[in-house]
Amino acid sequence: MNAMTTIPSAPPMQVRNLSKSYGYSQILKGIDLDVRPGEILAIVGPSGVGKTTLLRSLSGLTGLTAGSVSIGGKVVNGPAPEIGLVFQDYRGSLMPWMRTLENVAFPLEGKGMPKARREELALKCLADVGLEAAARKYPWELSGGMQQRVSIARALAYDAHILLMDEPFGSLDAQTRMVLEDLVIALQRRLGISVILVTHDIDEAIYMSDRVVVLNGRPAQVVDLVEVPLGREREQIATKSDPRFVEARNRVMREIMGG
Amino acid sequence: MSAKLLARGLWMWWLPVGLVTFWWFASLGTNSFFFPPLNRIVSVTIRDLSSGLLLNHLRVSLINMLAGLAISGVIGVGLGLIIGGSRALREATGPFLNFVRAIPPAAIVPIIIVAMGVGPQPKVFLIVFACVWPILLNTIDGVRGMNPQMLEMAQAFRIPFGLRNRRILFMGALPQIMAGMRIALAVSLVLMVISEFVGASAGLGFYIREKKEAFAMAEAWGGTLLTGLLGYLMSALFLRFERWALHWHFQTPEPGKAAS
Amino acid sequence: MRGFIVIRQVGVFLGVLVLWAVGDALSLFNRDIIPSPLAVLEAAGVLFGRPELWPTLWFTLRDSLVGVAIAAALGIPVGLLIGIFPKVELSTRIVLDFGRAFPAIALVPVFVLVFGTSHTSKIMLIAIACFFPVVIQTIYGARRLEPTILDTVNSFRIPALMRYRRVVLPAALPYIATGVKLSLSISILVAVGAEILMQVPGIGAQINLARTYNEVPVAIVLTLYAGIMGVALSQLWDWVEGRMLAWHHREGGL
Repeated sequence: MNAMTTIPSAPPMQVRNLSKSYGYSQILKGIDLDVRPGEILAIVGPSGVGKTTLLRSLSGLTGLTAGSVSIGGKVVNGPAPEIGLVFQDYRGSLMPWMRTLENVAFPLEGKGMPKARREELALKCLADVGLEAAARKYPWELSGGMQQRVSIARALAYDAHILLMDEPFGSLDAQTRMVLEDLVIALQRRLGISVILVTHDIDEAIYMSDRVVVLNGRPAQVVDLVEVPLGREREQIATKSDPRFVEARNRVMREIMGG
Repeated sequence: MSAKLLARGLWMWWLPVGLVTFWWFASLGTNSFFFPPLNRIVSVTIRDLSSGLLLNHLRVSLINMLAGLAISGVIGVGLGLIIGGSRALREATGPFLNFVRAIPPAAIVPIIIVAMGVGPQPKVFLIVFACVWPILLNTIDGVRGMNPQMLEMAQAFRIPFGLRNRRILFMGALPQIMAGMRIALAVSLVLMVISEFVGASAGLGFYIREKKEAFAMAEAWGGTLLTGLLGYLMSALFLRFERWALHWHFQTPEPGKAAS
Repeated sequence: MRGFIVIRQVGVFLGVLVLWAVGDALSLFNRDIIPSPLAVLEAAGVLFGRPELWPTLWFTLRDSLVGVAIAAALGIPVGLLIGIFPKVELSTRIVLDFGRAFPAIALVPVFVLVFGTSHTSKIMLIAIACFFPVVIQTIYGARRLEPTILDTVNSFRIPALMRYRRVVLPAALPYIATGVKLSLSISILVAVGAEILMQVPGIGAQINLARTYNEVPVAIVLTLYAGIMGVALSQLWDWVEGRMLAWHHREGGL
C-alpha cells in the first residue's frame, strides 16, 4: 500500500537562533530549526536537557529570551492559531466536568463557533481518532490511552496544522503506546499536518519521524539532525527490524549518551 | 432489608434517639422554671407553628438569609474568580482580605441596626458583609489550587477571558467554592440570629427574644431548638446539592491537582 | 521579588484608605456607618487615653482563650475517639452534624435567662462554638493515615495503645493544630457577639456603649481592634505551630 501523497496543509515553521534563559541559567542556546510542511519531527535528548522548554517556546506558552519563531513566514509571539498542543498529563488538561464531546469542542467555543457546528466538527475529530462512541462519556470514564486520543482530537478540532506533543505517550503502557504512535502517523498521512514530538523514547522517535533533532549540552544546542531513511511507510515490526532503523537509533543514542 | 443496612442504621440512630428519649422522660415531671419538660417545649412549638405565627417568622428569616447568601455568592464568586486568576492580584490583596475577614461582623451590628433601622435591609446587609468573605476567599483558593496545566491549555488554545473564567476557573474552583458556601450558610444563620436579636420586628431571633422577655421559657427553648433544626436541615440539603453538582469531582482522583 | 510583593500589599491598604478619604470628602457615605478617616484616627487617639480600654481588650482576649482551651481539652479526645473507632463515628455522626450546624449564638437568650449575664455564660458559649471545629479537624486528622503506614504498623503487630500514641496522634497533630487555629478565629467573633448581646465586659460591650453615646468613630476603632486581635492570634498560633511541628513541614506532611 502506498503512502498517500496528501498535499501538506501545514505551513512551514522556522526557528532562528532561539535562546531561553531562566534568570541567570541558560537552558537553550542558538537553536535553529526548519520544520518542513507535513513532516514529523522528533526532539530527543538526555533527561532535563530542555526538550520541554523548547517545545513550550515553540508553542508560545513561554517567551523567548532571544531569537524568533515564525510560522508561514510570520513571526509569532504567543500561542498561534495554527498550533495545537497535546500535553503529557492528559488528566491535567481534559476538563472532568465536561463530557468528551464538549472537551473536544471547547477550543471552538473559544473561537466563537455556534454550538451545532462545533459539535459536528468535534464529532468528526473524535471519529478521526476512533472514539466517536465515547462522545457522551466523561474523561474519567475512559482509559489513559483513550484520554490521550481525546486530547489529540481536541487539537485537531482546533484546526491545528502543527501538532506539538510533549511526551504524549509517556504515561501509557507499551501496547497502547504502539497503537497511538500508529494513529498519529495515520493522521499525519491523511490530514497533511506537521507534528513536532518531544520524547525520551528513542525507538519511538525514530519509528514515527522523518527527522530527529538531538539536543545536548548545557546550555542545550542542536548537536545533530538525523534524517530517518525509512520512507513514508511505517509498521511496528517490519520497520523496527530494518537495519537502517537500528543504525539510526545507535547513532542517536551515542550522541545522547556521549554528550 | 439487609441485616448490614439495619445494623448500620441502628448504630447511626441509637445515640440521637436515645438522647432525645432520655431528655423527654427525664424532664417529664419537673417543675423547674428554667428547664421546662421537653414535651411542653414541643407542644408549645407545635402550637405556634400550626397557628402560623412561627411559620411567618421562619419565612421572614429564611428569605433574608437566602437573599443575603445569594448576593454574597454573586459578589464573592465574581470577585474571587478575577482575583484568583491573577497571581499579582492574589498576592497583593492577601493580607488585606485576611484582615477584613477577621473583623467580627457582630461588632458592626449595633452600628448598622441603628443607622439602617429595623427591617430586611440591615439584616441582608449584615449577612452579606459576613458571608462574602468565606465565599471570596475560598473561590480564590479554589482557583489557585487548580492544575496549572488546565490554565495552560486555556492559554494554548487562546480561550477568551470571559469563557475561561466561566467554564474553566469557575468549574475547577467549584469544589472549594462549595466548601466556602457551606461555611457561609452557617455564618448567615448566626448573623440572622444576632441581627434579629438586636433589632427586628419579625424573624426567628425576634421570636426567641420576645418569648425570653416575656419569660415564656418553653417557647424560648422551642424557638432556639427550631433554629438549630433549621441549620441542620439547611446544611443537610446543601450537602445533597453539593454532591449532585460535584458528581464529576468525586469520581476523579486528580493526581496533578495541588493540595488545597 | 519579595519586596515587590510587600509594596503591592501595602499599596492595597493605602488604596483602600485613599478611596475611603475620597468617598468621605465627596460625602458619599452615611456618616453614621462610615465616619471620616480623620474622625476614626482621632477616636483612636482618644481611646488610647482612656484607662478602661485595656482591661476591655483583655477581657475579650482572656475569655476567648479560656473558651478555646476548654473546647480543645474536650474536643481533641472526643475527636480522636471518633476518628479511630468507626462504631463511635457512626454513633455520633448525626449528633455531630446537628451540633456543628447549630448557631451557638442562638443560645444567648436561653443562657441569659438560666445563667444570667455573667462572663461564665460567655465562656461557655465560646467553648460550645469552638468545640466543633476542633472535633471535626481532629477526626479528619485521625482518619487520614496513609494506607502504607497502617499496613506497616499492622504487619509488625504493634499493640493498639502504642499505635495510637506514636502513630495516629502525631499524624493527626497538624490537623488538630488547624482546628485550634480555626477556633481561635471563631472565639473572637463569638466573644464579641456575646458581649454585644449580653452586655458582658469586653470589646462588644464597649461598642454598644459607644453607640449609645453616638460615638460611631470609637465603635469603628473598637471593631478594627477586634479584627487586629483575631489576625494577631492566628499569626501567633501559626508561629507556635511552626516551631512545634517543624518535622511535619520539613517532611512535607506524613
